[in-house]
Amino acid sequence: MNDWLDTALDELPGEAAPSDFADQVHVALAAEGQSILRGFGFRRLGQVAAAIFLLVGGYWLGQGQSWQATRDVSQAKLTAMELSEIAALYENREILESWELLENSSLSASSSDGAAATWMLEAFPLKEEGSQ
Amino acid sequence: MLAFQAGDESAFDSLVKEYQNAAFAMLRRILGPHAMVEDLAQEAFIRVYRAKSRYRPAGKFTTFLYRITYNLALNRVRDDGRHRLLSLPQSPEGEPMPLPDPKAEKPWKAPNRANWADHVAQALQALPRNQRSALVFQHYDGLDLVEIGHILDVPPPAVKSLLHRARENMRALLQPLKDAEQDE
Repeated sequence: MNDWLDTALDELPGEAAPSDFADQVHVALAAEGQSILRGFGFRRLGQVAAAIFLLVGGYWLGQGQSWQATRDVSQAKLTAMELSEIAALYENREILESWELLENSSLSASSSDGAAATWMLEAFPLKEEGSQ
Repeated sequence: MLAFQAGDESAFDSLVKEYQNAAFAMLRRILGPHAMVEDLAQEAFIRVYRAKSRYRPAGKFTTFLYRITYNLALNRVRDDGRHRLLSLPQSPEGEPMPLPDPKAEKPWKAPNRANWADHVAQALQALPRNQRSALVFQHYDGLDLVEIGHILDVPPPAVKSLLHRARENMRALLQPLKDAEQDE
């Protein structure tokens, strides 16, 4: 339906783009690409700087010492209490190991010899009354 | 666009050259004579470039380009708060304000082919934005109801209603000028 309104609307011309518009789009795209790269560069630089800061800061806080887990106890300066506790630990370990050896040998004896059910008595003889 | 999507960079150049005038004309008609359309058109094509991997050939490329361009234009108008500068004053209900009285002695002069264009541009800007956009897409770009609805984000029946009201309003605005022309 073409009436006077359509004819009137046709009087309004379109607008042509500037002749260098396509070039402008390419320039804008190139500039955008560079700014993205620049942004990426700054981000990477920041990440590297943060990593270096953490490493240096951590080393400084640790005062250059090696890892705590690998420290040799024999080289450390220990207090008397710590030394006595370590000695007690060694002593207890000795006792436990001897009990373990004793127990194993006694168990095998009891399983093979029914008459040897008194292995506990053999291992731990009762003190006779009157003896000290 | 499909060639560009397939990796042919020169196809993008062809796209820009083929559709740049259409984008410019659409922006000018919708935003009015004072709007800065060049940077909007440029941004629209940059977005097309970025949308390379996401583009799905569901409809015409024009519809795809116009949707991007139109949304950019809307955002720009909203962001800048320039809608009052880009169109003639509207009533609070969004109804168009009348054009100058053609019977007034000055500065009115009888329309001719040259200044009909000015009157049409002025009348278009007096329409509510949705009506104006629908009319521009239909009359100047030859889009159908579905395509216009896709760009404006409204269903086709709503587009039909917008077009009907746009044409009625344009007639009301331009009729006095037409009558004056006939009286000459």
